[in-house]
Amino acid sequence: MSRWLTGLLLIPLLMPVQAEEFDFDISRYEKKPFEFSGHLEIKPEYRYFDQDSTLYRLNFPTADEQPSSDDRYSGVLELEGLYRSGASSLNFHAQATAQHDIYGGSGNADVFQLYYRHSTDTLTFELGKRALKWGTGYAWNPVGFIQRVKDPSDPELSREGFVIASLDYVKSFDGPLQAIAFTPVLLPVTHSINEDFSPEGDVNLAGRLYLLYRDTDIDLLFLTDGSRSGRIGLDFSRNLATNLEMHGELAWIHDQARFILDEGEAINIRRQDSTSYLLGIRYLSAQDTTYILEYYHNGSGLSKNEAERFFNLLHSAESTGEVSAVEKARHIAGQAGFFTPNYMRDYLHLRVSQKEPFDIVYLSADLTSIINLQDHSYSLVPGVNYTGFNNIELRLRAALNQGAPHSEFGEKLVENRIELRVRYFF
Amino acid sequence: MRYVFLLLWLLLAAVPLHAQDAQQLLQEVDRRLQPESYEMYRKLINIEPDGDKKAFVLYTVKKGNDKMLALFLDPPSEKGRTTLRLADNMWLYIPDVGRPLRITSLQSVVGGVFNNSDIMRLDFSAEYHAESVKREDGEYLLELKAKSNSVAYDRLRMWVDQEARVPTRIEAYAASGLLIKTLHYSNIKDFGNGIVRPAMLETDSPLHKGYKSVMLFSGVKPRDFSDEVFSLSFMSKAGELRE
Repeated sequence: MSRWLTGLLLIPLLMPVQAEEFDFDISRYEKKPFEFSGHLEIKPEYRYFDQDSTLYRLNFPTADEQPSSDDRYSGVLELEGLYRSGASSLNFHAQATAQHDIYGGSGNADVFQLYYRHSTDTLTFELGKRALKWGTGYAWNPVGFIQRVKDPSDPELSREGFVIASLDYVKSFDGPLQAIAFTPVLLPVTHSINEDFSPEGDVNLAGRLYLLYRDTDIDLLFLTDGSRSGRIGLDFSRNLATNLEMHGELAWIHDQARFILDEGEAINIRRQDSTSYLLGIRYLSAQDTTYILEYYHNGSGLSKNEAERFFNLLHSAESTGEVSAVEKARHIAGQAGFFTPNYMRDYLHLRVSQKEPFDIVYLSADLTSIINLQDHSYSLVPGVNYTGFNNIELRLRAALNQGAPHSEFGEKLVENRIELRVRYFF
Repeated sequence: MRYVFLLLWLLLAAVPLHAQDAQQLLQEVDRRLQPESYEMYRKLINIEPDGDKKAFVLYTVKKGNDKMLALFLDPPSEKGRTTLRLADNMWLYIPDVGRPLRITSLQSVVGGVFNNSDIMRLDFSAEYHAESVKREDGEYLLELKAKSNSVAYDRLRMWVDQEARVPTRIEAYAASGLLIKTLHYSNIKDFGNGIVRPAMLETDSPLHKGYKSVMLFSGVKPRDFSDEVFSLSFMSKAGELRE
């Protein structure tokens, strides 16, 4: 009776429930010598220009060619792959882009990464072009000493690396110190290797010491004096609660060159130590809303008065109507990093993202804002993302730049923008 | 005789077993489901009300009570994403982002009914206290309480098959008492190495009406790993662990 009863109860368990419907063959996921993947992206974009901005007048100086808007179309192909043999592998990541806008058509192709890797459980050696990502910040990484600056308005975009040789040694422990990892990196700069890291040739040594101590990620980082001035840094990340994470970065740069415009509109290179830092939190609410809030102090950034002088320089050059004067002013401002994102000192970044709004699975909505705390200008980027179609990701975003005259976001070329990004993954 | 047996069976069903028995049973369930250190492949299929499906394939390795690493192998948009869990710490590595980010167990990695906690679940006995067990309808019913608030579900009610000692159904509740989801185990299969366990897990949730998720298990086998495999440094190399 007991066996009969048990047997009866086990029948539903032993039945191959809808086995034919849910097929799972793992042989196609086993490790193979070659792996290859990538995505194709198209992005139509409508841009509305701020015709009162300084950058607009620099871009469209002649009165007969002053558009109020344009349509920009861009396409991106990214390919990634590897060939492995035993504990070694050859890895690559390349990107090709093409775009057409009011300036005409253009295209580019770059090898973002191409490197040899040999690894065991505890030791990894890498040689070649490699994009290292250091720092715990979401929008900015002041301790990212040997990486290209990320775009704070789209921080998850892949970035090009530098040619390096690196080791990574990791060891785990029981106790308060749970793990330790040390990563020394050699980064040579010559006229043909890593020439965009710095114009000064040298063999640069950088490194990172990672500790997982009492459930806190801690990194100690350095770059020795060489092609760039020497710098040290520290970052951390810790979960304060199950739904609250806190992170921060601190970087001290020795004798950093700053390009200052004096009253006579002559450029001066001033060398001084600078300290940059970032403090942020990530919070997940019960309604599945994620908040990321970061404060960033850029120690080598321009003060409000210093930025004002650059605007005056550009404005007076543009008012002469002479192309050579405009080009000279552009060169000076560009040298000082005036056209790079977030060139001033104090910023706030806020990102609010809602998973599955209106209970629509695979949809997420987000709002991102970067606020310049010195001139009170800001950007506002609302967007929605949909991943419900197999291998296709859709992202619709708008962007609004607002601010007073002679403010960072108030003087952007593009005042409003709307874009649709379609990515097909393979 | 038949009535005597039935009376005895009903009496047994009514008698609650001790908490110690409950804990032992829970540990046995854990060992029946998976070895302490193992590798496995899982396929997650989210099924929408209109029948549309989206599938994810994960390669997972686990060591001891508190270490787990899961790598997405499919679909291509998720390929290379790796989640690491060390006790209550959890990180997500996205190849484009290029460095691990701390995340919480409550966040969803793939959307739909599954969240990180379902994908990165350690042994039940590592996350839950077994408060009591009783016999109900020919099965054991375990009442489980989360050991800490970092666990996604505050309480579990787990029905365990008396012979196979594996779960047949689990109800997951929030601290408020709200039923968040129900898990149905089925299709018991011999994976070799003495592992006989359900090969399929279906999940539905009153919070996602009409949606259903299915998890298929394959290639479950005991395997030992060094502790360093479960480190941030190793996350970008997780795919190399496959044999």
